[in-house]
Formats: sequence, C-alpha cells, structure tokens
Amino acid sequence: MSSPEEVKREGSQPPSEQAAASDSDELLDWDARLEEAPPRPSGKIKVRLRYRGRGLPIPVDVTNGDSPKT
Amino acid sequence: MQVYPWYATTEGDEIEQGDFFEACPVYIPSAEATGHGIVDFEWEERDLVVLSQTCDLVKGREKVSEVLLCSVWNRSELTTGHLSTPKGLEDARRGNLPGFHLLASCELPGIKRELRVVDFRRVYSLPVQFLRRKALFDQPRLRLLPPYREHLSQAFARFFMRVGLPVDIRLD
Repeated sequence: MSSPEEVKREGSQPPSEQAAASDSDELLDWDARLEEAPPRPSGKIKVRLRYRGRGLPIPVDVTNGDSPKT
Repeated sequence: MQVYPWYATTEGDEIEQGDFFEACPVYIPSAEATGHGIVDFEWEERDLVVLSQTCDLVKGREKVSEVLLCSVWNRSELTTGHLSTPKGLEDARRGNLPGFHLLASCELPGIKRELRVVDFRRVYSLPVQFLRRKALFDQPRLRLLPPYREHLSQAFARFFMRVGLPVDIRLD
C-alpha cells in the first residue's frame, strides 16, 4: 500500500509531464486496421459436417505437474 | 558486444510461441455452415505466427487442442493505407498502432524474409496435430527468439485487453 507521501508524489506530477503523457496517448491509433487482407491464394471446398457430439475439455492432470499457474 | 538475433531455424514437430507457419491454409466456414450435410468452406493461404503459450504446446502434454495464430504480412504486400507508408511503419515500430506489431527482416542463410507486420485483428486457431504434421513438411521453419517473442506476446495482450470507456473524464 502506498504511503500518503507516495500518493501525493504520484498526484503532483509536473504540468510538463502531464502534457507529455497526454500527447503520447493521442498518438495511439487503436482503430487502425487493414480493411482488406492482401491477396493470397484462396479457394472454396465442400465439407460434409458430421455431428460427433459436444467437445470435452482437456482433463487437468495435477499429478503430472500441471497447474493453472503456467 | 552481445548479439541478440531475432530468428533461428528449427526442425521437427515441436511448436513454440513465435513459430512461423508460412503458406498455411486457414478455413472459414460460410454463413450457412451451421448445421449438418455438405457446406462450403473457404480457405485462404496465410503466413502465421504462433501466439499460444509454449507451455501449453508441450508434445504429449498439450493443454490446448487448438493453437492460436496471427496473420503476418510482408512489407511488400502492404501497398495501400497508412502501413504502406514509411510513417505508418514507423508508427507501428513505436507501438502507436496497437493492432499491429512490426518484425525485423530475417537474413538467415536460405531463409531471407523482409520486414513483416503482425496483424492482431486477424487471428485463427488450428488443431495442434494439424500444425505438428505441417511442421514436418516445413523444414526448416523460422522461429522468433526471446525477447522479441515476448515483446510480440505482450503487444498482442495489450491490444486484446484494451478497454474503451463509454464516457471519458472531463477535466474542466
């Protein structure tokens, strides 16, 4: 947990630094995207769908060293 | 001076984060392909880079059945739009276009690749076993090395976890 002095330091950023942070954030273009993918070989195939039931999750083997932390 | 190469070649069917699968087909079901019977699938060739974590892909101990991959475009393929310009590439290099990630050119003997751009908006998943099989045909393959691999992974995470606020904070 931050001490009151630390909190004060974080909140009292010099105006010049605040402006710099704001300017750099304006540079980010989150919406930039390629409208169309560059042309590559492509085609169409006919596929026969066969229902094989619902997929099952991969069992977690805790004895094998598996853990959620990987 | 220490050298930090961007790429190495690899052989065999071990798959790691940062591995490239070039000229790899991805399959896109048509809008009608939701039920049974014969339906149309489109396939498109893509250069792909693995984004799944290496620890999830250990052979024989896989923790995923599908591998997450992202499209990679050659610089020469980007002929229109901001990314076709030097300014656009510089913006991507600086991380100002979070939907893209720039990769250095590769000068390894026999595997020369130009500057490439990873497109985080075009992601695919393919079965692990499909990619292991393909890996055996694609030898040698290119592999992105640390810390550039982690840099790519971090950039993808940053893009994917973005949050847009519906109402911004007014400072006046």
